[in-house]
Amino acid sequence: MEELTNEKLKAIYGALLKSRLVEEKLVEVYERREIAGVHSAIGQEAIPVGATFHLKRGDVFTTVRGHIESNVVLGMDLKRVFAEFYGKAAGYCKGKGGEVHLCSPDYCNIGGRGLIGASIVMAGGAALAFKLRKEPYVAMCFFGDGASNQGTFHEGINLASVLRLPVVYVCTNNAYALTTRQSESMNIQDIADRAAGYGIPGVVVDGNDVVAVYEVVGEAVDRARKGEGPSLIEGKTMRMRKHAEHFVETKRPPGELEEWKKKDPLDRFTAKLLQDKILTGREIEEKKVQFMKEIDEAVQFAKDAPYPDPKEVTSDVFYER
Amino acid sequence: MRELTFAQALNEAIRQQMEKDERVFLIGEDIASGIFAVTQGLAEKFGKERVINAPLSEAGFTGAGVGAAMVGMRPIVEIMYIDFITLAMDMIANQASKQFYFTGGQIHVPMVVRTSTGIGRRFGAHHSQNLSAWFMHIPGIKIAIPSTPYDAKGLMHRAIEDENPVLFVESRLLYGTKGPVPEEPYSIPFGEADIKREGKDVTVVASSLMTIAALKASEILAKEGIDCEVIDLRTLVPLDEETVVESVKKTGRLVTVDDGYQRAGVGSEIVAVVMRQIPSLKAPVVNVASPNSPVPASPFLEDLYMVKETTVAQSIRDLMAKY
Repeated sequence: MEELTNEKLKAIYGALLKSRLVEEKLVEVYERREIAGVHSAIGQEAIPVGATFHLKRGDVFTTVRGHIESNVVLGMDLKRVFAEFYGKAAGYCKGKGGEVHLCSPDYCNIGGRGLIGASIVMAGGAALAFKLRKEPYVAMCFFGDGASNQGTFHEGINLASVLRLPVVYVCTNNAYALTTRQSESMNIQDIADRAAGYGIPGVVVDGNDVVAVYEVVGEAVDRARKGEGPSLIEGKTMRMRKHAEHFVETKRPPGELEEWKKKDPLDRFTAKLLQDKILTGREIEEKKVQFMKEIDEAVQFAKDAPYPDPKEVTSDVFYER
Repeated sequence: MRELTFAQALNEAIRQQMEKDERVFLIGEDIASGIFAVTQGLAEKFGKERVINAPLSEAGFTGAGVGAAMVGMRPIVEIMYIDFITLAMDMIANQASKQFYFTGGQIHVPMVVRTSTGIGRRFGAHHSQNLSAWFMHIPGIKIAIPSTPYDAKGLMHRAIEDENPVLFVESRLLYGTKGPVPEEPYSIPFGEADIKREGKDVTVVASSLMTIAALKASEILAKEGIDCEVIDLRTLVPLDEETVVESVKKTGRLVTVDDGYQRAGVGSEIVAVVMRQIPSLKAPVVNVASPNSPVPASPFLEDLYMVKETTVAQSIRDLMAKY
């Protein structure tokens, strides 16, 4: 695992901050009904940010809906990201994938699925390809607590374990699947416990501590690259918004959001870096201004961009060389 | 020319592709154990890393095929019986088939899903169906469904070389049938139906085992003075509309033969294709197909259930008598 130098910590901070700003902007443009919807990950960014810092060119990851953080870490062009949300031709998927399927293999991103849990088996397939080709790459698979109840979770992880595939399963446990609490959908506290059933390591980590996530996922990635097989990491966090912005409100116990707001991953990391004098308040403000400018330009680009050509309705059904 | 069985022809095509292209690998249940004719000897030749015995988990190993294809491999996934494909339906009908479209052409899925059909083995409702028609409905997946050893080998070569997901439907009742098969690799283009028998009175459109039933029925009817033209579709997607429509223009009569359920079946689609292009026929169309009821296990009931050459012949005879 790469050492956490001050430079690295600053880079992680930058990605965490930028992800938050993009997430907030997506909610804002949804509220103006400029995009169809967004599954906001505000408050959960530390898990994908910390994990994705271990990916290198050649690796792949599969996403969950509205997965902004890994794209930010790997440097996808925000103009084309927003264009995809706006359904424009300049989007990475020509506007045909939208929020759910946004991807770019050039940035390790092989996409998200409308069917929760499907990517758990597909990530294993990518890892199988790496193993057959004797390549040093890993597949990182992001999913949530809800997806861990799908049959694909069982089938995918069992197969990956039996074949010792280089996969890192990163479960964002944000306590809710749509409106259903974890306690209503499983009789265990820790999804990581399920790893034992497949004979692989399962680790719980504070999902709002980006450094802790970085370290735990780093060990799993190292293990995968050494040919020792898959691992399951469960990051504990809280969904701070609705399932999706267009969705019904979630009924929550009183005080839940207030309690978790105190554990906000960005606030915590900001406080730590200020305290350790790795960043100054002024540097943070400068970063914020710089990112906001980039994000605003991306939104403007997406709004101004043309829609896809009408022929795109029926193109790309089959790939013919 | 040398003769091979249908199963040997498929085996040879897969072996030739595996020799040529390192990206080709096999995954499925019990395929490395050498208990099935089509994959026999492949694990010994190419190793168990490339011929993978998967756990009983259709969604798991089909999804592994999709994921591997997305990053450049050419997997051949085996679903032992098409009845089991229900367990892998999301991987085929939502993931593999739509990947190229919803990524805006960035990621394609060159994967073959081999599977088998076959009524008449006394296996009952979960080991007998032909569900091919379901997949005609889904954009983004091709369907190859051969009837002879020659076509089986050529279509398998083509399927493995295709850049898209291909459902390859094999009739278990054809595995032991023999026919001439060239030794060298060759490829049969998709979307080209084969007129297996020329005739002037009635167009009979079939595929797979039902092509054989239609040909046998034609021989019976020839003695009665009825001249059938038998079209073997060979691929359901893409569908060779031109060959079918031209034939019906000539004969004025259309009979489809398919061992899937009749309702919303392959035959229904053939009828729609024809009637979109021809204003009227000499006779109403006939869809010979399995009843809209599950496949029974009792030998007595299954014999009544299944489409046979005599069923096909009788349907055509009735049609010709009335019109």
